[in-house]
Amino acid sequence: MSKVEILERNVWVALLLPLLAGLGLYLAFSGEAGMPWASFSLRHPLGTDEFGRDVFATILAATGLSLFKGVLVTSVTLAFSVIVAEVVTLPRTASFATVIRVGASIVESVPVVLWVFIALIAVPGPRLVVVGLAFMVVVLPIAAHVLAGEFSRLRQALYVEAAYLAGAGELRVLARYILPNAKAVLMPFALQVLGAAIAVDGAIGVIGLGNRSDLDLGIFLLRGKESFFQHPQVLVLALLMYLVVYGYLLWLGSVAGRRWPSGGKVEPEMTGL
Amino acid sequence: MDVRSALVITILSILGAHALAYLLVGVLPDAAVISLGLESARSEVVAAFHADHGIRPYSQVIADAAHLDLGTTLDGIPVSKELGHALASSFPRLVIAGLAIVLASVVTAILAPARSGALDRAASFLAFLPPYVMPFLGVLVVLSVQAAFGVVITDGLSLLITVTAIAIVPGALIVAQTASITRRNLESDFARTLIAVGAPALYQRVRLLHNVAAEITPSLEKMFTGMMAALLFAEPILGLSGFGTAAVRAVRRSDPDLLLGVTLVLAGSVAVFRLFALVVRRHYGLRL
Repeated sequence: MSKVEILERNVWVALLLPLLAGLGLYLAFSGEAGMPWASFSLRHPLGTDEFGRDVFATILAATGLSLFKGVLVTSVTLAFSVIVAEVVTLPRTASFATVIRVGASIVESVPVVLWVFIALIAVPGPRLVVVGLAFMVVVLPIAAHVLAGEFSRLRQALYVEAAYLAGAGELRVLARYILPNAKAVLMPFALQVLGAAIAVDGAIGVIGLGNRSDLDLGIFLLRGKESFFQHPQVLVLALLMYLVVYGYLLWLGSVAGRRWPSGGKVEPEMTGL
Repeated sequence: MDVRSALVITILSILGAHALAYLLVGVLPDAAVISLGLESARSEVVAAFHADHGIRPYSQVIADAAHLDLGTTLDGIPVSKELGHALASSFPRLVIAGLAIVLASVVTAILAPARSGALDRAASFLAFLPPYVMPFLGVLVVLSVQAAFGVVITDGLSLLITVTAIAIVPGALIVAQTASITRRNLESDFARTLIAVGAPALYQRVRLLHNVAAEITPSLEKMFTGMMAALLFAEPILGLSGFGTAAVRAVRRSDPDLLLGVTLVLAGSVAVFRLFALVVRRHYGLRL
């Protein structure tokens, strides 16, 4: 089995490994809280933060946690997007397709992150749930619009027509014929949505809406900026983790592009904030 | 899509975004608790606060907006005045960033290699980053230079850092798409004909700029949205006054009228840009 095939079969493990590594390091190095802002040592290679936690372990744990939250939100968002896209591409749903298109225009008029900020301050509840739901609601029209285009194209394929003629139901056609052949569009799009989800989660910490002790990369950026002259390692490591995570996602996208050559490459796209 | 339909969708987008924001703002936690602090325990103080800053009915919000009355902030300043000052500070940065992106796109169209390579990978990577990473990188560079050499940050240097932070992510997207479009156009019959008749490569590239401009106009809306998203973070992170700082302040203080005003300005400007991109594209023709 080639490396690409191994990765394809284990892509979710590949995405979750950083979480496991980060949490493992966090548990290994956290233990009792050390002195706040302790200097570099064997036990704390990059020192400790203002709460006495190992800087290296906590930032690594925050990275893994961001990736995990992003994967969770992306999975739920895409699941609902597939359902909506499927409904939109059914016959006699042209008006629903128009509603989706207008909805996509409305939410695209304002950066996604601002919608999430407003939802976060307006709606009480656990942050992951509120942010996840707000992100899903905002991204859903856009994602459904993109997927509906691909589903409409695939519905015109001869093998799909043959499946209908053979008596296959809508669910079977979707699961056996449309979704597997939509991977070339679905996988790169999923990675873009994942990038946006991680960015939105960090943005909340960056503008100071989270708690300072949260394991959140955005909070580490903010705290790193505040303490740069005395403890530059926080900002440097947090920025490095962002560059590593997004480089990793882009690399996964290029792997997907080689695996599904017909449009599987991650097109140059912003995280859509 | 014809211009008339696009105009209808533009108006619907602006009104829809504003209405959706109003719906969310309507369930905001009581701003009196945030603004009044301990005084919020006194009912008469809270009542007076709500009389001054309570959320107006949506019909009144629309009617007032038609007269450019966007309400008042929690500090009692008219939102239109607050946003006017903020936009006046941000406008030069946005214009310079936009011009820088256009220039980068033109240079890319003229100089992009015929095959994808390091430029495309670098541009794709930069375009994929969150919009707040670049301002923090700017902070890192500035603070490091200050710590190492004691250099004073001048207004010009501050403007350069801010414009770079705003322009780099949407600019990388436009550069990557320009390179891709240029490579595709170089394979076209028109481009090959130019070379066949003996035109220099530079002339070929300059003539293809027309096609590049036509094909890149749909991305203008994404470029503008990206610039506004970058502005939301660049100004607060770099400690500058402007539209981005006003928007973040509206979020952090749960200021309903300022939030609605920010949403209206953002939705309006993005929708207008979308319409502009459509009009430009319809009036351009591809040189086949």
